[in-house]
Amino acid sequence: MAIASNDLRGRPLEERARRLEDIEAVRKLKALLCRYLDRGWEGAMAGPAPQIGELFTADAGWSGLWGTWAGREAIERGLAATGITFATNYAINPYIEVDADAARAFWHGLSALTLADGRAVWVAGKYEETYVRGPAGWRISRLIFHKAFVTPYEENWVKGNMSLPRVAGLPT
Amino acid sequence: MSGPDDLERRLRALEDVAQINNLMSDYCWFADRGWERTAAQRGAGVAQLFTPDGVWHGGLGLKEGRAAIQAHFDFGNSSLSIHMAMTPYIAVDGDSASGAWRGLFTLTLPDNRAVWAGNGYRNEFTRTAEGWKLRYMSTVNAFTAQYEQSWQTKTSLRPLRSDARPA
Repeated sequence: MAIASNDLRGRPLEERARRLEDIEAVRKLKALLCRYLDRGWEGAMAGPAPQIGELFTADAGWSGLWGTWAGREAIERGLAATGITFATNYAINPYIEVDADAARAFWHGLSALTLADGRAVWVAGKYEETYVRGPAGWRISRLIFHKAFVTPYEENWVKGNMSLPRVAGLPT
Repeated sequence: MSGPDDLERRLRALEDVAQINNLMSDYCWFADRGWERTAAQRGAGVAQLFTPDGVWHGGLGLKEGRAAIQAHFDFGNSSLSIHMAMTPYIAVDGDSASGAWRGLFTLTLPDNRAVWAGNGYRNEFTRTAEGWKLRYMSTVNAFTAQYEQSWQTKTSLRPLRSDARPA
């Protein structure tokens, strides 16, 4: 990864202000995704957030621990079917680059989850995401999660590396 | 003061904050080890984020200059590490900047113990022809806790380096 160009002097101020607004828009988009995926504690939503699909483009791709899903509908169905009863999702170390109507970002992820079978697990890894500017604002066009570990709480990331159950994005 | 020059200066300060945030995220990324997609060139990756005379000052020593920093991160101490920097406080002053973060780490030590650690970063940055670089990074440990215990127990990292005898 390279640091984005340091020298924007000479570019129109409007363009530079917009680029900063776009970085904040990407940051908020990621914060909303984390919030919509949180479960089971004060401030989290009671079930799958109805707005979650709106964060993605219609043809968005998701490749994560639960499965690989193509399209907004598959992502909505997949996320609704994980069965988790508790989640706190942290998106950390934002690295955000904006290039006109496209953007990409990397985030470290740390999540505390309670799975459908009652197991408490820690999940850690890195998100690799791309975004596009649409008529209604920025949307996630691709999300890939690279795993560092998934471990039952009672064990640790050395003893307890495990996989999450795969969830189909669409009925089979 | 207001007008185009003032607006340019204000925009530039915000751009600087954005770039410094990316720089700190890059540091965390390059410093990570031992899992999917972590950097192959760990030490070189960290070192190029510093100025040639940059200093890394942590619990494991004082490393001055890119070669020393590169060697320190290539040597490593953990078979797995994740660096998470949070709660940024960034102040830009012309071509210099300072920044403070709180860090959280998951580590696997050479003897396969899993450890949580927390720290505070105090960094100084300088603007160079190649963009913002770290001139100085200090990291002060808040806690190092074996996974099965808590932050009330102190787990030492230092004796577990492969060049030292385990405690």
